[in-house]
Amino acid sequence: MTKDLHERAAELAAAARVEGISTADREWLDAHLQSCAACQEFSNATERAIRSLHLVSVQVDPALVDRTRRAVHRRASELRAPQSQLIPLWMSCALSWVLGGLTLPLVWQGIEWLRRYVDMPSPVGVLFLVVWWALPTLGVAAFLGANRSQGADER
Amino acid sequence: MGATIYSLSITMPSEAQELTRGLRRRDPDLLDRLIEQYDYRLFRYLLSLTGNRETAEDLFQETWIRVLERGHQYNGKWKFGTWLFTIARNLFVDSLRRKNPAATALDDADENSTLSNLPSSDAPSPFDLQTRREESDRVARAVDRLSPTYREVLVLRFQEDLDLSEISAVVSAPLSTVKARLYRGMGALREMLEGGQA
Repeated sequence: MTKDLHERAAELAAAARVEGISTADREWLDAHLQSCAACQEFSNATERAIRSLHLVSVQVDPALVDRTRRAVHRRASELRAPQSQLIPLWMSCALSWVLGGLTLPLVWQGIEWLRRYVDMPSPVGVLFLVVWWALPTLGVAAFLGANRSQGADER
Repeated sequence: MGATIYSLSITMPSEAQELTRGLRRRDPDLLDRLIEQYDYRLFRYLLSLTGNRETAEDLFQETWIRVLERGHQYNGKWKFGTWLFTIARNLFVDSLRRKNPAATALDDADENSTLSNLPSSDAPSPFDLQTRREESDRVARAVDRLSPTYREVLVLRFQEDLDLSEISAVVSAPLSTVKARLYRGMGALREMLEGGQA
């Protein structure tokens, strides 16, 4: 047999374990291995090397698994907390907007009275009204911004 | 028993969808079951990467926290195990970069890392136990001496039974590279074991 045949046998023996080989190649390899002791030994050595990997076993410390579970639960709670905190926040916002709408005539009368009392120009009165309306939004934005930066710091 | 049933069913398509939904919901009970199902495989893979028990334990915990945080990114394209190993590997590469900012790949991992202190598996008799322990130690020493890049793909292919495309996804390398590493790693391991260098 030529050297090429043995090289092919060695390649196929390795390929059979790594990526699989065709039926024709398998038949050729089996036939070759039956007639070539050296290639048979090479194939056996490859098989032993692969099987040997299964001999290396590891033990996972149960305490590690417990610690990991606790850490995962703790982190899950941390991740859920901001969302549950947001519910009352948005409810307060909605209530604030509704009340803002209902009290708009009164607020506007108050601003008008104040404007006349201190002799303010009309645009300042409008500005007061806008600030009054924007306060809940600004409050929410400030709260969310503070929460986000706190979360980033903790990570 | 319950865990066994779950581990069998978790690979079914409908259960895979449930897994995806559970991860998106960050369901801690689901994470508990996954930790139980994959603890051994993940830890073995991390040990093969790091060669250091302490580092592997740190990364083990970090990996599951990351699974919780990034669960919404799991789309079921790959098996959960493949996705899990990818996360673990990315965390390991990140830790390498933190230690050595110039490090970019597994090739930069500690070549002197060791698996030799790994305990051997149980055996039915004291004689078998001793024989297996010696053989396990010999193999562990041989595996220690492999380059981390070879060790990693050998573990993924022959211990985790991942197919080549899955290994390619985990190690972020082309299929041809994965094959080349496997052939070289297998050859190196064979020579070490047969040549008695271990």
